[in-house]
Amino acid sequence: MLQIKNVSQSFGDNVVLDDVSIVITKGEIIGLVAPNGTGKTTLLNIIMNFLSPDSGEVTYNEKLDYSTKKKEIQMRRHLSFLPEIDDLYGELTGMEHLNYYARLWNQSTKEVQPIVDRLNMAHYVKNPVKTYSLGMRQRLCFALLLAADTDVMLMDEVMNGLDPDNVDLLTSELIKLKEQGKIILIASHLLNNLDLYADRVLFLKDGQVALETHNSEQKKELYLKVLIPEKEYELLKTENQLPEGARYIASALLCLPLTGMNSTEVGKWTSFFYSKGYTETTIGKIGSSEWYNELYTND
Amino acid sequence: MQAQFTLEWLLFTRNIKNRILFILFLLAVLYYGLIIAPQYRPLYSFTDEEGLTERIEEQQTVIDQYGTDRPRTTESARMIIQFSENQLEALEQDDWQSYFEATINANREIRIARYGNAVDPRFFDIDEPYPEQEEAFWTRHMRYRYTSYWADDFEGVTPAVVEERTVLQTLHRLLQDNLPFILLIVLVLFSVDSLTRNKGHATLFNSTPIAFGKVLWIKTAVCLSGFFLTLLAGFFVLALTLGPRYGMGSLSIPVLSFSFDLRGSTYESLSLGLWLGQALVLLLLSSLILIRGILLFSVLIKQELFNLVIGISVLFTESLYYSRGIGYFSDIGLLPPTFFSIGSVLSGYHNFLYNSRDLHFLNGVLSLGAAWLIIEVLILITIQFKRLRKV
Amino acid sequence: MKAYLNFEGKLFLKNAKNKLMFLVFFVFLLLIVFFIYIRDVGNIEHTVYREMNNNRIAVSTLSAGTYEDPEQSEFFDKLYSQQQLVAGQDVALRFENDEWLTEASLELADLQIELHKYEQLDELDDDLQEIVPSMHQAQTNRAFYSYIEEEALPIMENRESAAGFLMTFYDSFGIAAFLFLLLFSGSIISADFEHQTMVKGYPLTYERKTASKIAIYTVASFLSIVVLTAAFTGGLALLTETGHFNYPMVLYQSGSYDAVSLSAYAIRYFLYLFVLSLHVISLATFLNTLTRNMYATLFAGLFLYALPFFIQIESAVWQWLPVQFYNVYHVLSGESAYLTGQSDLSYLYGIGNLLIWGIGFIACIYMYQSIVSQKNQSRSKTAAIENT
Repeated sequence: MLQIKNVSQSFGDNVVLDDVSIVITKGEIIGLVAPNGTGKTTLLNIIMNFLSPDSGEVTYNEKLDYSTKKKEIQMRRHLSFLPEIDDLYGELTGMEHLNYYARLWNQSTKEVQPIVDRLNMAHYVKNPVKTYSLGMRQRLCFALLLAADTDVMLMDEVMNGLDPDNVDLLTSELIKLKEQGKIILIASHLLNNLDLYADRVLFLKDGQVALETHNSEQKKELYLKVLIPEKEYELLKTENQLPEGARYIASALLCLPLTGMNSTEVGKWTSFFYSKGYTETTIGKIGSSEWYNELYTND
Repeated sequence: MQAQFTLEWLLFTRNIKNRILFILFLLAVLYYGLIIAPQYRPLYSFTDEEGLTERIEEQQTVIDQYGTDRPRTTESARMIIQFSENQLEALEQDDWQSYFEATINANREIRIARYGNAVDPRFFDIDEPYPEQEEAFWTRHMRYRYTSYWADDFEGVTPAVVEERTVLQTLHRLLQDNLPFILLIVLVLFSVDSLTRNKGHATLFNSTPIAFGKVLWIKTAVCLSGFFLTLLAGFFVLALTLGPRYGMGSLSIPVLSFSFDLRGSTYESLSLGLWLGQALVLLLLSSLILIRGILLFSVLIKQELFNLVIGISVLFTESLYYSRGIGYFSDIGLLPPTFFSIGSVLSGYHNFLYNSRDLHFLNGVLSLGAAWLIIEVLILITIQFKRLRKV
Repeated sequence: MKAYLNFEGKLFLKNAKNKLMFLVFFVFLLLIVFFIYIRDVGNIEHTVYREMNNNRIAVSTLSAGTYEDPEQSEFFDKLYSQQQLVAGQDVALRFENDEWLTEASLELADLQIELHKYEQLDELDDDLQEIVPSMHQAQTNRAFYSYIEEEALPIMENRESAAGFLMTFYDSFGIAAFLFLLLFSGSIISADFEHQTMVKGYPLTYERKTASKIAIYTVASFLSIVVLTAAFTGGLALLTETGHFNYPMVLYQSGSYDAVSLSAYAIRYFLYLFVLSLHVISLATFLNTLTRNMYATLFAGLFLYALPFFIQIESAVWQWLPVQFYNVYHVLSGESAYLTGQSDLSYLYGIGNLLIWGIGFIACIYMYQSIVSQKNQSRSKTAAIENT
């Protein structure tokens, strides 16, 4: 279990994190969402102890923390961080990087070749890193985490620069890691992709967790979603009785919960909206991108 | 630890600067072995049978020329002939003791005949303020060295050994000259970017599950390994160039160490193997000081150029306090930079310059060791600060 | 272009390495002060005493040989006279009689010039030959003391003054200037490799970018040197003595030695230094463009600098190469001309040579870059064709 307890961090007058507390258990993938410069990377840096918080602490399994140098090293044995692509050593090959990470954490390189094969890196991994493209480097960085195979993995924009095929590949790897019981914290702007594997998504705003969505819960909660401008929504609200639990998100999206509705009622509402000229109608859960618009766009 | 060592070693050996340095060093050794070493003129050459016969004939000509006109000149010539004949006889009988005894006497007579009470011009230099003392030092050095060849039961005397041209003796001579500084400059250049090169790789470096202090030790081990492998390669090249001509020499060749005691100056004899071993110890300690010092500055200042300038400047700090004879009045000669002149200290020449008896191996170990310990303490204090443990 | 110059200028000033170089130069000047005040460098009493002692030893060594030939004994007599004149200098110093010292020194210089006409000097042992200063040194001394006599200047016994500091600076920085400038500009091009995606996209030709860098580094490094030196000189003038800024420095120009005042010498010295800065920075840019590595640039530059030490031959080829012009002081004093046997190796010639080679390096950089970019263009065309 990874615990972030009452962590606060300011840079001058700018309060980036304000008394943030999060508990993450084994087998959970947590998504971190926020606009640029509002604390995602700062939080990850604090968890890795690259940055000391103004207050608060980070603990692992309730026994380890960063209070002493010895405990810090013990923590590092359980935590790994996705390296930035510019931090790779250009003169070394990808394989040398992988062997290094594998030996450093696991004293063995026997898992390296399977990782290379799974991530389709075999055709370039023995070349020096300076010859790699952006996507190749990003895949190598992800592979390094697989080679380290720590209990906790922190990733900042892991899908950066990847084409759709590689996004799918990494997504399936993340799901496998979850099944292995890993704790994964991912900061990402690919919100639809995040919904595919994240158990929870935390939305940071004004230094705090403004919203926490649960995928498992959300799986149960489906909505009839229709795009309606705000003025027309206000009119619609007065003229019609909307179902209980209806939400209007991001001043544009009306969400009617399907729980308690039978198919006839769903059909009735669909026809109603269609007759009013609202043709952008879908059925599904409220995704992270929709919550993002709700929380951040109206500002 | 092994993974970190492997990574650091790969980074060290793939570094273009280090590769260029390695090649330049080997080329310099090759140049020295092929061009410079053969031009070495020892102060006292080995005179073979042909040379001795020629000398005898020359001196006979002097006697024939001057007859009774110059009694001192002819008497000197007679003595030179006598000693030269003794040398010849000793060479024919392979009697090195007699040969060296006769050689010492012959050298003395020839010197008096040529220069009388004046200074042997070979010791004269426009920048040398004490040529008489220099001559006295090296003349006595020659006498003690020759004596030690037979007194210490050394059995490998050859002309190359007498002229100190063998590979091991060449190394011995070079270590008394500028070689230690050249080696330490190479070391500084190797280690200058040991930590600073991690600056552009922060997320990789800062997340390793190894204590920062251990990482610094791994880097130290890598630099030392690279440095000593380079020295080994250089020695190999030297052996290839000089060995076939002059032989390798032997670790049991006697060499001298000068000092003072209550009775005056002394020259103690020790084996070349022991001397080189002591040199290696001092070199190792000096290397540790430089590498750890550079790492300390890398942690504090994080500037490669600063490391370069400081690392090289430290080697020449002795010039700030050295003064001829000051060892008699002050212990300033015990400062660590004095002992960077490894060979000169071990052979006692530094004692001669400083007029001291304290500049020897043991004090070198203590002085350099103390400096190293101070650097270690400073590193220990520095790495307590988390901000400084990051690149 | 102006924006780029401005940007590069800011980059230069904010670069930690350049700030460090500034500090290193500061420490260098501090060391000069240390050596003057603590180690007594430039104290002529010590120098003359040592010369007197060496003369005594040399003469006694020579007299141990026999000189029966009248010409040889004449040579020996001249050497003996040299010893007496040096002893005379020593006595004049002790009595603090500048006139006597100047007279003895002039006579000594004339004698030493005359001694070089004797074949017996070449027949002496190499080490003993040093007892007679070189023709270059003797002529320098004559010019120096002639000026002192004409201007009736007091003799500076030591260099513990602002003027003395400046004299020591000219000499010691002469050898260090090249190294400083090389260290300043060792990564002038290679530093951009970490910012390729930015640099390649600038709306400026490569030629303009390179010219801007060279201009900024030249001006900035030169100004750093001048400003710090002036600050130290001024500081010492306030804290200790000013000394005499009309004290002579000997300048060599095509076979003749003329003494000029320190201040007049300063103008020439710093003008030469400016041209040297331009040359070294162009050279470093050229090496850095080829090697793309700071250390390779430094090693290559050092190799060129050290070349004259390894190949000490007198040859006409030196006047065409820039390597003999890297030591400012040696060129201005005529020592380069003396060591290479080329009387043309002088101040104005040096400026011309360095400028031409500097322009040559810049032209080579442009040519190299043009070849590289042509190759890249044809490679991308080939790749584009293959892809279609």
